[in-house]
Amino acid sequence: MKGFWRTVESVFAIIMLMSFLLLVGSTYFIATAETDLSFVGYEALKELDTRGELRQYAVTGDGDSINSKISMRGFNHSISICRYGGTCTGQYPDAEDVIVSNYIISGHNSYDPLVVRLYAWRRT
Amino acid sequence: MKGQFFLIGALLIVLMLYIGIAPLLSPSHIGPEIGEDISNMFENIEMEYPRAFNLGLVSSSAEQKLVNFSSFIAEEASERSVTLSSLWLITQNVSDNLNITVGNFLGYNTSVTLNVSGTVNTLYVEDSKINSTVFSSPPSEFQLIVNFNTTESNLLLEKYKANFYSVLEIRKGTDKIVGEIKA
Repeated sequence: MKGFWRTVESVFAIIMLMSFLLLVGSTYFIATAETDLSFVGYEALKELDTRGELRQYAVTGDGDSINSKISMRGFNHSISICRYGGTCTGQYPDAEDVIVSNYIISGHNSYDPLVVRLYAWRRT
Repeated sequence: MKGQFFLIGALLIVLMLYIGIAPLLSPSHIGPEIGEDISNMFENIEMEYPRAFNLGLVSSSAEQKLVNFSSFIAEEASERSVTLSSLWLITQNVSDNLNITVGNFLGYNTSVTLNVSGTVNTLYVEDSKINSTVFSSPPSEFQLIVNFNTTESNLLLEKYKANFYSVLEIRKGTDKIVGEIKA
């Protein structure tokens, strides 16, 4: 009988340790992933720019075309294009924990400064 | 009795791990990394300032386009709680002379000393304004020494090419990035 209770107590001890490690691990890694997401969004916009597929759409306010060229697994995303003075096309998404990545552009064939904002939020 | 030692031991391990890991889980640590945020912004502006200059040259109004772009990025930075300050200059050949225009977006008025191959001119530039000076017939390749506040830059430039040079500083909280842009 003594052996049985020792086993039960050992199992409880292991469960306690594992639960703690899982809880701490998930909190840390989810937070880190969301921090990195802003950088991933910026890199995605930069990559589009490098391929010559950003500016032409940005200056014409075609956020949908930019959005269709971006892929972020496990996340929804949308684009807003803002000009000097704060006038923006596209809307801030109606979602929680939205992460924003920004990319400044001075123009395409002529000077036309704007900011492309990429909003990303977790798929539910 | 031995089995309870496992439980007490587990509790102690959990406590020690928590004490060790707690600082990593504090909001300041798991929040957006400020350094990374301004680092992206710096890289973005570093690429975009020369583009704005080139687009300005195309429309023969490089100075005005750069003034506009400097105000634009300062406004964008302020929306992200970032303080951005810059001082830039452009050199252009005009009838074999050298025209240098300085743009001051440091947030205060400043004096800029320009030394072109031994000839020295000092320009007083108000905040968010530009000021220009002309150097007579410098050599086709000239040395430009720029001095303002405690910053000194030594550049080797070509007269017949339009040149852009900027010192850019981006700050957010205690993080700061300072760099030069040449084009």
